[in-house]
Amino acid sequence: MASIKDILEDLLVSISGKGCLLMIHDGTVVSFALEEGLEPDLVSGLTSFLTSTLDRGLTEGGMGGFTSFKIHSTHGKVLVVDLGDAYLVVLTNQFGTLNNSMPEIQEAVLQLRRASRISI
Amino acid sequence: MKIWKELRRLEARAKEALSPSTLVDLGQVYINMGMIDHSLRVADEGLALFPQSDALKKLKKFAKKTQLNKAIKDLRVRLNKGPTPVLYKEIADLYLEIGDFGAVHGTAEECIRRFPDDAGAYLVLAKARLTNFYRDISARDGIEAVRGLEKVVELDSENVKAHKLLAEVLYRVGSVKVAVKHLRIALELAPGDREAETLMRETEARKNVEGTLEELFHRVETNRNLTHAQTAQTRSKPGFVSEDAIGPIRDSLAQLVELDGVIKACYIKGSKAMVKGEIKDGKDVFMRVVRVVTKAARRVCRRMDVGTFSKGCIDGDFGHICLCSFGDVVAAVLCEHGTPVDRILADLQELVAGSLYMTGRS
Repeated sequence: MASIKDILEDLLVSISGKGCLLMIHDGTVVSFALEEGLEPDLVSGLTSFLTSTLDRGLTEGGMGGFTSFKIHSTHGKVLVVDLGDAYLVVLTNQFGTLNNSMPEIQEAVLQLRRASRISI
Repeated sequence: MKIWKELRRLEARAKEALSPSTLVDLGQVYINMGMIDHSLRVADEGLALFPQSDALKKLKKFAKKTQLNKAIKDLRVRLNKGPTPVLYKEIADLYLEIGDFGAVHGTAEECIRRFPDDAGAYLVLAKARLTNFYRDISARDGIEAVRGLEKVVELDSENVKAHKLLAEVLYRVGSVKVAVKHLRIALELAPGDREAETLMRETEARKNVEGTLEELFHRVETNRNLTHAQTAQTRSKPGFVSEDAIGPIRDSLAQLVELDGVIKACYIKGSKAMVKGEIKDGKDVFMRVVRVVTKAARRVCRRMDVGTFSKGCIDGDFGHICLCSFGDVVAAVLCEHGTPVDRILADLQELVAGSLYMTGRS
């Protein structure tokens, strides 16, 4: 079975992204594959701020949680996928097509779910 | 030294644990240090994230009052050196903004004593009386306001503002004929004045109520109701898009809600919002989520160095929330699972771009 690090690195190559990161809900980084210049602590901290804000808003309004959050900005795109206990964060430049890369991302999500469980 | 250390600690705390209480603490320290602008900024940012917070509203009110009091103090110093009607008017206007009507009267009367031929002080005084009249429906304030405005017109017959205020208050108590007379003068002095034109259209469509000025105002006070209701045009606050610009936005929102799968749609500009669809009340959860998440996404994009947040899509058990943001404008849609999100985002983009064009044009 591939390690979490390998899954993230493979995903980064297959989608030609800028970075992939796995973090638990409180912002603690599990593993990452990021382009040079991207700080894992910064990405996880900001993602944690964003997801906690979103979760609080949705929960307070009785709308339940979210499964994914896609952000488009002038110089890049960010996708946050909720894996239950953790978040997968995918970063691309502004030309990245997250929609076209969804099969690879979904595959990585399944692999990460499997890799994060200890089977006895 | 100690207070600076405390300030740094509070700034860090406000970033780590973002909540109304941490922001209020920080804003209070800024006020204590005389950094009123910082305090107002903290209150504004906090209210964007927590619009229902009474503590933040109080902080903003207090900071604003402190800021205005400081401006009044500076103007008072200048006034002591060389009194002019303009300085008196500026001070009275600031008192009016604070809501200290006693001080408005004091300042305006002082100005009238010194400069009896200046219309400015009479106008400020009349505006304060008008505010009281519209708030309390008090005949005495209304009559005094009309007398004050008549004095302004007597001293400065080309004062468009006075003619418009006079026309409006007279129209509202039923004196349509006199109101029309003042509106005609206002439109002669300022042709194309949209406020006056709208009021003229409204006024001409209504019946005149017979009676003296005192009788009309006392009738309004007894009924606790204005004879002719406030017009939509005069109710609109400056700073927001005009009625002409709102129309197409409203239509676009209505069209979005008509699409298959769309539950609700909203358009937010600053603190103003317009919604279409299944909205329960002004505290709608969807609106709150849109405000809060957009604010957070803008901040995250900036800090992550990926530019400015423009679009977003949140998926969950509720369906999809699509967001489109530009400047201080954000439009959003809540739709069911299976709705073509790309199409919705494209429509939202059109709506935001169109509204900015309309706002700029108006």
